[in-house]
Amino acid sequence: MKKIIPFVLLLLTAFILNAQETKLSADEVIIFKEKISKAAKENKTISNSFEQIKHIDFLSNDIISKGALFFKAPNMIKWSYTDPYLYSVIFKEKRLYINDSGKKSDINLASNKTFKKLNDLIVKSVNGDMLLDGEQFIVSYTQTKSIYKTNLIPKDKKLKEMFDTVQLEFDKKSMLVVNVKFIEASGDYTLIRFTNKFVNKPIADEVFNN
Amino acid sequence: MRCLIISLFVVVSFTSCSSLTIVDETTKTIEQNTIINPYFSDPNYDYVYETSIEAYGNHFSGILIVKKIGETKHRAVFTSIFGGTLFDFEFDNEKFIVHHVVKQMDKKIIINLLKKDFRALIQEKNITFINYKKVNERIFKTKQGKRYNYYFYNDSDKKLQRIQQTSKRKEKFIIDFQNIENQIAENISLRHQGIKLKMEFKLLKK
Repeated sequence: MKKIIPFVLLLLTAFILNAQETKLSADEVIIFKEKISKAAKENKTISNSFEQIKHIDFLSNDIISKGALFFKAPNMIKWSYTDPYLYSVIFKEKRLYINDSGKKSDINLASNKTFKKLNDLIVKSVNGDMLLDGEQFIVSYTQTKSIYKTNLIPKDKKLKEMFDTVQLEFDKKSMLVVNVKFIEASGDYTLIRFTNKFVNKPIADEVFNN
Repeated sequence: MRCLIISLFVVVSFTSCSSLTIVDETTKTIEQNTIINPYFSDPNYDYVYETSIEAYGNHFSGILIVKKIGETKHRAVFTSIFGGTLFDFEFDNEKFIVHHVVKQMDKKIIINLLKKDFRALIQEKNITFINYKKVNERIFKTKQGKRYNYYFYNDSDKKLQRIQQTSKRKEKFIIDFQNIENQIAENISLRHQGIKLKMEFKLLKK
């Protein structure tokens, strides 16, 4: 279970696209970070559909799964797959609830130091703070006309083992993440595309029940 | 994970050494043949299975991806539901390459176990040295390293139904293939007999 948590965590950073890219200047980075902070404060709820594309070089086709993501401030998160399998994780009140095709389980994130650290990191990611402090990742910034792109290289050994780089792409208008790409050392990657984003649309608490 | 390894050691060390009978030895004929496991044999097909693992009371889900990449070569990749690669192995007859394995699984005992399990599951061409005949069934015995694999073929439709692996004295695991369509097994189970480990694979249709 410990193995999946870093993946969940990085997928969840998605809360808070490739034409001609230019590097952000120091001033532009400050503006970008301010926009992220502002959006994080204003976004009380987020509902998202997503498509997960797993690319493995030797395969003829990418493996595609679909699902939905719900966030409710300050710290309720649900990440759920609906096609081609049913699987969901919910972060709520320092616990991680798992529903694996009807098999339910939960983990107390507060009882374990590593989990507690991860839980703090999740809340930080949701707030966009993770990008701001540079504590966990070496961050570089580029942009196109419509998109901000951040390149995150993990400093943490455990995360580094799992992927080389994480790329987050933010829509400039909404400041929501549209794409997250986890690139592994082999070059294989997992790309998550977000669609149908709804911000501040009420979400019933029941959505976060396992 | 540490508990699992200790448990594996304890179970492996203390399992009794009874003599083993898989099939009625009086029906045997000594004959060398090549038998085929057709379920991972199409190089143009991506074999993708939703996987559920039960190990010592722990449940874990993931995705198993198998691809034939050469005449005798297969790649087997296991990822979490979230997409991250947990292991990436290459099988080529007796050759075995670890392309990637996450640190938590990077233990000799775990890799050896997975190597034996997945080689038995995937390997397409196998040389038999003893054949058995039963009512409605043909059984072929092959050697895999120091172990033996028994291939059970149904007489009526000639389909491979089961592979059972044993050492000289102990049953190791049973692989069952079910719901077979066009040489693809929609459901596969791999049940260990000496340790509490069970894997179930369900084909993800395109």
